[in-house]
Amino acid sequence: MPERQDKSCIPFTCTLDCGSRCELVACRGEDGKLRIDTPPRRADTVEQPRLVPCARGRGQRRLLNARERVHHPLRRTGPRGSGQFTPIPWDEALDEVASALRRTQARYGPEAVLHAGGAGAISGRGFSGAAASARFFSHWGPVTQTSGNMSNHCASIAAEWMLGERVSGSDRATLLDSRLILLWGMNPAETRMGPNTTYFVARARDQGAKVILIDPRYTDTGILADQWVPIRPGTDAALAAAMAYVMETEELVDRAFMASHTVGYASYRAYILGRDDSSPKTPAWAAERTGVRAPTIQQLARDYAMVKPAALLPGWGPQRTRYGEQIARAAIVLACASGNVGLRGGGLASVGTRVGGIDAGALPYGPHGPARRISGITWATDLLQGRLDPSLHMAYIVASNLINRSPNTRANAHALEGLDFIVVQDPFVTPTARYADLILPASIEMERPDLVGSWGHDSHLFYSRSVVEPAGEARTDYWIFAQLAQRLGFGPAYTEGKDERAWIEDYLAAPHLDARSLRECGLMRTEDEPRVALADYRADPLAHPLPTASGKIEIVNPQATAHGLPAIPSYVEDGARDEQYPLQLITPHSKLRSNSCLHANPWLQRLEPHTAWIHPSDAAGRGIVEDDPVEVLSRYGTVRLPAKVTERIMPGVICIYEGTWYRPGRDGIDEGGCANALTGHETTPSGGPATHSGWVQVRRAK
Amino acid sequence: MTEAIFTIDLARCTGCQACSIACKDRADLPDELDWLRVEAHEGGTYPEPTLYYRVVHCFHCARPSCADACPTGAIDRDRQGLVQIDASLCSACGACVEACPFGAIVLEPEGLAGKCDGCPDETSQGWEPTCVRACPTRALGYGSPERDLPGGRITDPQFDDHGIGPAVRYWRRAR
Repeated sequence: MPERQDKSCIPFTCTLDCGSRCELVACRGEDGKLRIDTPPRRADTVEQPRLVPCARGRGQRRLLNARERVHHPLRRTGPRGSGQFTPIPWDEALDEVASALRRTQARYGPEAVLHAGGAGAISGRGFSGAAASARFFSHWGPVTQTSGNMSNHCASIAAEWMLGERVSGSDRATLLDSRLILLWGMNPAETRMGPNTTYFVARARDQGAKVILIDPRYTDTGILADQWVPIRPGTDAALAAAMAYVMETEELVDRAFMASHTVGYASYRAYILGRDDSSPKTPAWAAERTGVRAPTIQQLARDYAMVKPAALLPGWGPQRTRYGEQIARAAIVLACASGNVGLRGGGLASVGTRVGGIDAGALPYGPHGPARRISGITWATDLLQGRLDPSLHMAYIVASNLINRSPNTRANAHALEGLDFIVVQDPFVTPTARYADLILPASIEMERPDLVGSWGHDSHLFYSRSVVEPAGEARTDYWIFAQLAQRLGFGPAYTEGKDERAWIEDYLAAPHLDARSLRECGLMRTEDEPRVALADYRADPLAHPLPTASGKIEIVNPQATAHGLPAIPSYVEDGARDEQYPLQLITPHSKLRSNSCLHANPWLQRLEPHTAWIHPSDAAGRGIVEDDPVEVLSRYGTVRLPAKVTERIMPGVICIYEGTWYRPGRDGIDEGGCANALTGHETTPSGGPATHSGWVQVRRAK
Repeated sequence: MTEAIFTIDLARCTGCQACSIACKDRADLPDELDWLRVEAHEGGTYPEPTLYYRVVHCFHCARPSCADACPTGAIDRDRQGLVQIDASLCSACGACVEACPFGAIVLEPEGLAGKCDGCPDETSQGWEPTCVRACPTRALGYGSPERDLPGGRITDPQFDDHGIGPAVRYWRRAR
């Protein structure tokens, strides 16, 4: 039983879509001011480590009075995008939204309404903008909904094809048993992916594990690594093929495991040995493509095959490339070939280690599913080029900075401009909100209660309390939709007579929940052993078959050929290179934001200037020195920002952290440095985002 | 009471800024001021760049140069050995800001000098200071100077203590 918190402290959690879920309290000091802390009395042991929040969570107080907060319902008074609004009363705003919904439905049918519910404050069991709006529209009618996975589409689909299940990772605590940790495009120092991932990596290293970072950048995670292997973006599957080649030709493959637990390896083996294209995938072959030196590839392969147990942790950057399916699949083959599947301290690629933490209640859906789902990546070009039939006339955008978060921001803004009516429900005047006809002010996480599961790397449940009243006239997403439902004639169906607290009380009554811990400490933790993924399957594949056609790990995937991909996870070269845009662009996540959330938090944003990373050799040829204003150009747009000339990035690669807010100047150039102003709508063959496969040019700004 | 020191493990600090934000929140500082900052130090040449982050705050020196510089005697060490500024005596002249070789003192909007106070309200309850508890990699520590170095670490020889006895040890990996 965790210790009770001080009475003056209210437990809550940060519900950002960051990859972690951490324990916070908000305490009212003697000066009457609110401060955020981690529970000071919480013990910190290796078995039950504290869930220490990062800067994003610790800085949330500054959001309460951020300059960009919306304090009143706002009606547009200037052109779309101009940011000119006037406050109006709630009743007037809600009436207007209700009549716009009715009008659109009557004229064009409910399908003409786009419901875009985002990840702004995800993971609320019931009351995040996404969840509250999904319940609303499931009662209102069959609308059009954005869909698709901007984060880990290819990793998910690879796991589904090969393992039959998406969540297949081992708990981070098992890293303490690893002797080698391969962080392949994985950057937990900045993206976290589990509250204690960096802690366990650092501890494992102190116990003697070797840590290798494979990444086009020497990220902050490099500090925890013994070796950095820079690699050209999008070529990871070539590196994997050559590693497999070394393992195969040096007799390092765990043949017994391949025979008993996998099917289809012979095809991949033929590929790496060059039997099918007379081109063996040697380290020299891969060096040409990846930029990784051949001896390094050889060493990587030997290390990974021989130092056991070895954990290969792929990040999601490599799979957000043009043929991202291939590296996501190849990483699983490597884990099999090296014999690390189901081994404590080993493991294989995954999008998470646990499904949603401890099960708890969630807002149920009404009778209507969406009439159709459109791609959250390509929606704007689909709309602009008339590929949506019937077309869209209204957008209801909730907790989503839609134009900023989808690739090709300029096209996204253009697509919104053509709609009849746009509602944006958000705590902040985001770049997307600037295109709204009406902005409805929503509360932030600290201003609403929720029951929140851990993010996918733990098995916890949080009761996040409402710490303060919403700022100004802001209201919770649930309240707003309850009011709209009332106006549209289904109020009782939406609320069932309950407010948020009443729903949560119902959920807390479930017998498997430790309601006392949740009420008093805001947290329920399971005490079970760390999960070792596929341990049962390793021990006895016949007794514990996988949910695939063969019951085994499948290396040949007919599902891939349906998308025009090779059946095996071979390397596919990105042929999109353009002489005009010779540099590769990657757009990773920043430690100071969660996607575009927290751009409005000046405590965080001032800590690091937003820059374009460029290698000195690329900078010199362009007459660029540190801090120079530069323009980064692609086929899709231009952004202006300062240069960071650094040895920490591979030559030929430009890095701009995603998530800063789009701010086009009069010349159309984005002064906000929004990475998605440079990315395009091309997807991976199976429809995943390819936002790390950009091609750009950089020049000194005039 | 034994005087405690701050320990900062450069091999574990990834520059996440959780400590600086936590400190700013506790101290209730304006956007542009910090009592604790995280400095990035980049070096080396591709493909072998170097990077470390150095957490800097008031190190509660044994012979604090800020106290020597203060014309009103507002700065002194308290019973725990923590260097404190007596706001009632501070004339906001900024001499301490100039005198601190670590750049750990700031002039706050009310005009008074401000800096890390060592979280006496927290340590007196037996808790670690805010920055220490805020660290996700457990790179920060606070405790007895007689504490053993963790395995594989050396005290950073490059850290210049300016001869004033800062109550801080930076650790590096022994190569």
